[in-house]
Amino acid sequence: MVESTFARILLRLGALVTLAFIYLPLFIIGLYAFNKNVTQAWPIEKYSTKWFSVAYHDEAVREALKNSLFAALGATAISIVLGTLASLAVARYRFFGREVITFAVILPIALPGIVTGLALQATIIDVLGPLGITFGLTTIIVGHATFCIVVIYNNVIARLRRTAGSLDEASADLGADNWQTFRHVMLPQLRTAMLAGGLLAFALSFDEVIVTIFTAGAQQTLPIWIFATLARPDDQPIVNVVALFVLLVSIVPIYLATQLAGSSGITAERPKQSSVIASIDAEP
Amino acid sequence: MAPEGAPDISVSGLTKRYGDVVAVDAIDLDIARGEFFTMLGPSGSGKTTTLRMIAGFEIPDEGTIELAGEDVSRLPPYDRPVNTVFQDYALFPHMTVQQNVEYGLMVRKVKRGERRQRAGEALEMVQLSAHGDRKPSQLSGGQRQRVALARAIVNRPKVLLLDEPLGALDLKLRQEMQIELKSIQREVGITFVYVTHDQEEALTMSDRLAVFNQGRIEQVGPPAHVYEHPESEFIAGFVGVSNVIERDGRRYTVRPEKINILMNGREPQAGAHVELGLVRDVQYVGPVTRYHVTLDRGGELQVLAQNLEEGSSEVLEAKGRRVSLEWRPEQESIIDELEGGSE
Repeated sequence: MVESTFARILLRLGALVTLAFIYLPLFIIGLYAFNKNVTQAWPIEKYSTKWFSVAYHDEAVREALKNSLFAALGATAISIVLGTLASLAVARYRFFGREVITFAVILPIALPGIVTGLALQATIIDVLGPLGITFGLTTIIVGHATFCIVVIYNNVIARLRRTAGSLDEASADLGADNWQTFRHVMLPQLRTAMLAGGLLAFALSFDEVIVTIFTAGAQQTLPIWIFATLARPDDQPIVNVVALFVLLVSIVPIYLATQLAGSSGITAERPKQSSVIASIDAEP
Repeated sequence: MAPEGAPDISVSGLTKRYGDVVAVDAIDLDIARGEFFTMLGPSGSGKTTTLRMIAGFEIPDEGTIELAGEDVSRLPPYDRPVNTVFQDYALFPHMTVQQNVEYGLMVRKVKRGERRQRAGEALEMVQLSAHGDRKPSQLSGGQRQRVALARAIVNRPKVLLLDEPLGALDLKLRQEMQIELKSIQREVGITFVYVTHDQEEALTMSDRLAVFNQGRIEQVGPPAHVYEHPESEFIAGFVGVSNVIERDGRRYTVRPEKINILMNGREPQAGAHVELGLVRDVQYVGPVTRYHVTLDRGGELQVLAQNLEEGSSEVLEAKGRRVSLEWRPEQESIIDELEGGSE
């Protein structure tokens, strides 16, 4: 497409403003983490890293961090197993209700978090409670897994669609049973897609608030801790530090996932579109 | 084990349907040990589906498949003593050439040393010994094809199934590989079942061939027999040029190279069948010339003549001329008796 010089400048300016609108506030939050004063005022008068040390030694923050990590790891692990199995079933087999499954797996990311949360809360109280499962880390993990599965599913199914079905057949033909075929042929094909999806799932879970509120009970994750602590102005500097930390922990996996999905890694035979895009597109 | 002389593959009443479509329609077939057997037919004729049922990728709706006397119709692919060379090669992209070739031995728990050695021999047979460390993506199409072949024969299957293995190669490479495949088959002595839609490939390589059409086998026999005595109009047209005419209540075909074209008043031989006609079109194809002749008594025939002494300008002048065509009656291959009567 050919644009005039004026149009080109306008486009670039528009892009710049949009990016600034997204990233400038994040940058300022990051900057506030280095603010020496308890009160926030612009411009920042003195810089210091002392709040990092305070946050690091804060018991509540440490507990919340531990919960966040376990919740994200647990939800990611469950999602990798279930998401991969679901995508294998949908991509490689024809069965009754296949379209319904596809839809049912993708739906949770579009469902309003607050509704999912309410539904999960009711289930935990009325169904799981009598079975001895009460609010805690387990329920957070299950809650997060509901919307993390789709991220893995999307990544893996995108990879499967680009992997020739004849590879499974060739493996079976050469004498490999189903498990050997999965281990030696499918898994190496899907490994990077599973990992990319897993990193995205981890990031999604790590900063989740709404579903966590309904499933956590007395437990706090880092985002919940921030949410609860906002009401206490004296702790503002620690909140800023934790916010910066949550931000970084979310960015790194996404960056790695993009690299993984974009790298020419395993299926080098054909050019491929980024499978991360496929899953990010699907996000609400 | 099967008794001596029993067919390696015996297929009977084999049927496969997809919804309302009958892909393979009650096929019977015996393939002998060590035979190079070709299943020839247009796309959708059922040849690939038949091959996939022998391999175990498709389960037949009816009928049985016996390999060396054992019914394998319902066995999964990994329990059948056959290996397949796929049309798209299906090499494992994350493994080296060596690992690809060793794969079948690896999953069958053959010891590492023996694996190495057998894979090495197989790679040597396809002249790729120097490429063991490469990834499939670093190979040319022809080389990938050879790896696929080595990966299959290293397992010493009773039967090797080849699904249009040369389809993706260019003409010259394809012709080279035809010769090589044939010589490898002689060397290893494995039964080859070869699927192709290329009639020339089928004619040059096979010991016997089966012509598929619409889920059925129309004719089985040695290439020369099928070519010279096609049993149906479809075969006459698919294996070669159809050249069908109707005379005296008989429909029959004559191969274009069996017909003599007589110009400049040359006299036909005694006992030959003679037709008069007009040269409608002439195609100069280098070593040969193809004449399309409209016959006075109805019908049209193609004639193929070698350009032994004639140049292109001479043969092209023939267009629009009146000529006589002659052939010996034994070159006629009956397709239909229209008014009863025996052949």
